[in-house]
Amino acid sequence: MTVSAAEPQVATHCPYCALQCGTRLTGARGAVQVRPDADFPVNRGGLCQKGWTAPALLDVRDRLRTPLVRGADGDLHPTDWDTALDTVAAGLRRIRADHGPDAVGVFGGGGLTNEKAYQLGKFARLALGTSQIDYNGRFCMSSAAAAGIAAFGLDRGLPFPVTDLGRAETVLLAGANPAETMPPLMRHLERARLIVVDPRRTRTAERAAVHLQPAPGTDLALALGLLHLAVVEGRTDTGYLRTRTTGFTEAWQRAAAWTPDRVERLTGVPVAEQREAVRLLADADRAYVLTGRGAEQQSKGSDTVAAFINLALALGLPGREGSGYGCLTGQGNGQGGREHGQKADQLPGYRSITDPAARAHVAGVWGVAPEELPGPGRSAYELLDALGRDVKALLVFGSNPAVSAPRAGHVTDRLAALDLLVVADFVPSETARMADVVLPVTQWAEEEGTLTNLEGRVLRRRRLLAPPAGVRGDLDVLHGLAVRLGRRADHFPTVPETVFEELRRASRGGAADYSGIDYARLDAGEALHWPCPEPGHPGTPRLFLDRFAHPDGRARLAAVDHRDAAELPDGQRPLYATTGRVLAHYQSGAQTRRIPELAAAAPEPFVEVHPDTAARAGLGDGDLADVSSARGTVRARVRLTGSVRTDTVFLPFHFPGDGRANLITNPALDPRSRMPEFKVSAVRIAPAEPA
Amino acid sequence: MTRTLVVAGHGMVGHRLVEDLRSHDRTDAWHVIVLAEESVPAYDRVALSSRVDGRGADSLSLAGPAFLADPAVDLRLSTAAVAVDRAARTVHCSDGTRLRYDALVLATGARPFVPPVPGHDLPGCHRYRTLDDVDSIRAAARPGRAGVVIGGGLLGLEAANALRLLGMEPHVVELAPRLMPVQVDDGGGAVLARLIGELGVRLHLATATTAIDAGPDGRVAAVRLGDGTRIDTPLVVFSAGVRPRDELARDAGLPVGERGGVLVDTHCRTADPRIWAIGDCAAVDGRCYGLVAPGYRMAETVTAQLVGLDPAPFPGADTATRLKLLGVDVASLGDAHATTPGAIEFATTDTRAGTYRKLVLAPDGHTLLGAILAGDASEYGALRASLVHH
Amino acid sequence: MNDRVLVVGHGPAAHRLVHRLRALGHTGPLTVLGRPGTHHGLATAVLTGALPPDAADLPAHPAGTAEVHHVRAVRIDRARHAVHADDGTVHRYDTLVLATGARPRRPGPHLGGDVRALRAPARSAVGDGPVAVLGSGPYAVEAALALRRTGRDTVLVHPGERLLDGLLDPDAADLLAVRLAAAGVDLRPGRTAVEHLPGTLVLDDGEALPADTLLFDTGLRPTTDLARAAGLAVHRAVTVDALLRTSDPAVHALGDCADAPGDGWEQAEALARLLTGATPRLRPGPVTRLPAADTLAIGTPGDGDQQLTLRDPARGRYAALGLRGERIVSASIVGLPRAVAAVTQLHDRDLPVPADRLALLLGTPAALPGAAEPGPDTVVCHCATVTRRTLATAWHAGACDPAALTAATRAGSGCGGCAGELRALCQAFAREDPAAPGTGAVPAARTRPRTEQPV
Repeated sequence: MTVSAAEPQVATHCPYCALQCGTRLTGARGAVQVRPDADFPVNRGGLCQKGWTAPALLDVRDRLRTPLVRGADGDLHPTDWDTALDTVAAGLRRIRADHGPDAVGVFGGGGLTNEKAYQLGKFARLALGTSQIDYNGRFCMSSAAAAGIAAFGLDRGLPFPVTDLGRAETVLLAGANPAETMPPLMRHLERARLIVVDPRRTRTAERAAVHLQPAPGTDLALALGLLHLAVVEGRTDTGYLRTRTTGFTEAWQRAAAWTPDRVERLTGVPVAEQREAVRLLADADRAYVLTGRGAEQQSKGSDTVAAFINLALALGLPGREGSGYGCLTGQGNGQGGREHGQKADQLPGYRSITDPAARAHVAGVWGVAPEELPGPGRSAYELLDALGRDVKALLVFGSNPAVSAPRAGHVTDRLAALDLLVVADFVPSETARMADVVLPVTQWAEEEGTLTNLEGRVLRRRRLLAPPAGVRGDLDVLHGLAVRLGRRADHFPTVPETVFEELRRASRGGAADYSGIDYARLDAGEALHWPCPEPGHPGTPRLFLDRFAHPDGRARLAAVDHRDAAELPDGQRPLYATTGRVLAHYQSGAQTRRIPELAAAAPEPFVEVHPDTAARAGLGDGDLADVSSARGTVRARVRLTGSVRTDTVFLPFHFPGDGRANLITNPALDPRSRMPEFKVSAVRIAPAEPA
Repeated sequence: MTRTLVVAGHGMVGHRLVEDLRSHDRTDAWHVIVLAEESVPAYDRVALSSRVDGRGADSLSLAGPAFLADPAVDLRLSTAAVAVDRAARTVHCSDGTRLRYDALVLATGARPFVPPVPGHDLPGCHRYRTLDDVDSIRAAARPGRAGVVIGGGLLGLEAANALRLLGMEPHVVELAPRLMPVQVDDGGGAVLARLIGELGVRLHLATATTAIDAGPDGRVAAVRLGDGTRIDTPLVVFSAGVRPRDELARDAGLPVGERGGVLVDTHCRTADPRIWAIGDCAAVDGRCYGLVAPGYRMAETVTAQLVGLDPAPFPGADTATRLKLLGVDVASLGDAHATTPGAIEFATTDTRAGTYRKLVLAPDGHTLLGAILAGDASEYGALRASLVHH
Repeated sequence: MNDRVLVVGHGPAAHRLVHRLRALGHTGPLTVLGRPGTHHGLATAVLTGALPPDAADLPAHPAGTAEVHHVRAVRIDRARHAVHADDGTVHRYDTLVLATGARPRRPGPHLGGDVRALRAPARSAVGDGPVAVLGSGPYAVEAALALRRTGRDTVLVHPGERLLDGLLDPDAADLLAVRLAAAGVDLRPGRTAVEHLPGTLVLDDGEALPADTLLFDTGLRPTTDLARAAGLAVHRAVTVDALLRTSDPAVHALGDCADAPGDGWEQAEALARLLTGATPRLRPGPVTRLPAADTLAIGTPGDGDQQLTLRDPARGRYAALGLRGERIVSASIVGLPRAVAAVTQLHDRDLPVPADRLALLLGTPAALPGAAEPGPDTVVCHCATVTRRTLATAWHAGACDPAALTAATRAGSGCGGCAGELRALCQAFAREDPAAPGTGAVPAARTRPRTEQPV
């Protein structure tokens, strides 16, 4: 294959997950070619099927190319940008006048660039004056973030470069399935002995030295039990605990009750396997504990993560080169997206919105008085649940909550109850189809910006193609709306680099300090991990080597105890349902379902069922089944597999309509992180009722 | 040129050999002389107990009209072989004739073993092997009275069934702690005992017969057991195993097995290249099988040699058995008693369904080495297939 | 939720109850009378020296719990819903929970020297010298194993013929004894201790065993005086119903003083649920687990309509399961740790046993009916959804080594997990078709073969 000199070429990153694999794009619209970047250390020339087919996303058949406004006939009709933006602005003004600023909500996304996420938070607080902003990352990263901040004083998914994993001897993966969700990561795990905690025998678990297969919702007890064993068997790092941590005694007093026997009885994980896992971790010179959504997406997700962090701390792993704790961030900009202010309780620089100093600093950058900044708002599910009641209008950027939110049937009803729903997207997602106004925006290869990957490294997204006529960037949209709402035009710039410059200032002195990072350094190829507090600062690939981010420099073990999932199987609904991803699809599937090769690989909703369970329910392989919880019913095709426990069924959440796995999921929230319980629902399964 | 084959014995296996040979010997290369000791042609000994419910000898007979009319087969009833002169290649018969052979197959079967307990030869004591034995039992039966079968193996249970059909109350005495000790284990024996007990058969397990007492008339009146039990009975049937009938070979100077039986190799050849032995009288590599299915396999391998086909050797230890005893399914396959080093046993006893199933597995926990089924043997075919497969 | 709950006794069951009441949202006054005990289940670790004694301390109670440590309850006035303490104080209640525990039953009068009850808080590690353990129950067996594993000479003395007193079937109990012996524990079945002098234990047959320390678990005597004096129904222990209620519906009992199924921890969970309006879940039937010996006993050996038995004498493994329908009603398992875990869960949650029962007991993956043999449409690379057929086509088009196959089909470009398989396939294709394109690097195919793709 030869590339002609005239052909445009650009180095950028895959549009999907937080691994942000380095790619090279070439070619004109309609003929864009992708190849993995062999020099980018995260993927080292690897790419999964989603990355390989990403160019097809640029030209999907139903790409949105013009704004749409819902007419009196109830249908969406094409219109011009001014009409669309005027319509939105008028609606927002009216609702704000009638119900106050908090009647307008904003729902962002973990796939937005840092610039968009930052600008969206600023737009909500300043242009709308609303506290009601949150984002789909709440459904992703919030539990790990809450636990990480409590333990270390700082939350960066991996506080070390991904490539450090390549030298590990042992890696424990709790509720993570990277072999399917971020395949190229596995290249860094080839050397390590893996301990995989997952109720399913996933492709990752198949590669494990030890697969611990607990009942859904019991991994917190398992983590307590591993700590218990480490202590009783004298495998803790007592010197490290004494000099670098606090809170061990209180944490131990909870874990003390979780004897291996009790843990086995609750989780189903044999004592011998618990012991083997602790041995592998403790005997390794270089070991990591990593968590994923399985541990986090529970109504006790932050405690579960805390319990795994306790284990890592007891073994002396975090803050030591070659060892540590980390969470595997999910969405493309799941890291940057949680730092810059689209979260209800947060201001840019990973600052707390309730911290007076943080408010003063950000208000200063924004040129307003601190009092003008609203306080904390509702978390994602609580915001969606309030739609049509306290919240009358919602602006959605880069998210598809009609599919991706828990209890999706109810959320869809709430979306339908809004006075005004505005969705900015580049495909007609299920949420966009419900909107009153749809704003067509640019996508990855059509825009500039930055994203921050799972290791806290800031990456440049670069533009290969001009957007199609009629499509605008999200920054343009926010600018147009802000101006119409009476804000100064220069307060909402449209050039990404200009926004980034402001973001740098806003983040200065915050936890996620970007102030030393600029486009020039990134374009020169520097690998910059935040914090990077000064121009010329090399960035911080490894955090906590000398001290943790709490004032006393010590990490904190958390006094956590196990509790049951919000809902347990019973006679009516005897099975656990758990949800997750498949390799071919990303998030709500709004993007990947439109790509023929990916749609062919995973064409329709399915439910993984153990053959025994299927036989009892009168179901065979390929039959259509109804899986019902107290909240709703999802219809999916039965896939028989021995990789699930007999008491558990698994559903991928990428599919629309009556195949939405989230029709059954439980919006019971974690009290600290406000994470819903995606991973544990009580269900029954039966042959599908005729429609 | 036609050669002469003499088959000494017309039991089930001897008969199978002749039938087999006749179906393969398209050119009538062999003239077959069959020496039958009994007065009737071969019959189904396994189904002997059905004789008592009135089926005549004919219904059990294995020799059909085509067989009887076959000009290449000379069946001589009531004629036993009494000696073999290997040097002269002749067989001396009980009717005084001498037959010259080109090939001789010994299929003389076995005789019942009668334990030497006091009173074992009293009038009223029977064996259970031939049609004549059954006829004498029929004649001696006293409906409503107890009848004692000594031996709880396969034939013993058949005999018990015969007594039951004759209206007697059967008792079975077995030295081992379970029925059919060769074929099944304790678990299978327990299921068998329960099901057979429900049919009205009284069982006395793990106990020896100490004496058979005579009454004033000099006939059997009672059986006494080692556990002190005394059973009043006019009738005793011995079915405590069999002993191979290897006298012809012994007398002709052919080697015999350590525990009896004409010693043959896996092709059923004796030390004399013109003489083979098959069935219950043969000790293949020293081992006597005492079952009809292995006997048939022996017949097949000898047939192949006689007609010049490539003979498959007798496959050895396949003692797979499937039977219906008193209406109860029983099967035993392969290493049923888990004698293979490291073997794993996995047994399921269903007391409600009255079934027992045991798999014997290799140390890998997967490869089937043997099995026992009782109460329900419907899996027999599948298990046998996977056993053969491995 | 706003009731005054008074708990008499402060062992681990009482402690857990208080924590769970608060966690489940009980907002009313909560009072505990008595000195806090220690964590159950850590006594052996303290005795062996694996943990210091204070590691067994229970955590602090949630805020708002009234703890009265230095008094003893002396009388219950059920009519006035009050408990009188020995310091003259009176504690009123809406709900009273008796958690007065039990005292170890001492094995005999002539046992002096370093003699300790196993089912009591451990205050220090035993010495390094020989240890004798009296008892045949799970505590005694586990303690003997744990002590032996720390290198101490250990003898286990019990009066019965077999360990666990009939909780296991005879074959399982015999195998458990074999395992203990293999671990180096000296066994003295059928014997009782008659005298313990410093350094020596004398048995009823006259044998003298070296024993610096004597540990015993020879039964418990439930502490029921308070309940009895208050006129509550008491037999061996305080009588309670399935909801842990005594004969007075305002009074509950749990832990070692109550005649209830399950252990104190489970009872605390059930009672906390009941008192906060949730549905209590008490697990069925007696379950005895000895994780250190990979041993499990459920129900009465032999119970059930269907008996499954696994014997693996060569590896010291044995399992017997009794089923009623598809539910487990009895079990005796030794040496099969995965079966111990799985069978306990199935029993605790009243779940049907899986179809592949052999796999359940052996702890191997279940055989799946109709599991497909690998064929041409088997996906080799899941990251790029590439089948064997596609790879074969590419190979025959000239992509004859793994790198060329990756370039041609993308197989192996994701997680890299199929690298070995790609190598093996190249060899297999070459074997299947020796005449096909042979050597040398082949340029990547310009178009990727995607023959199996639907249109």
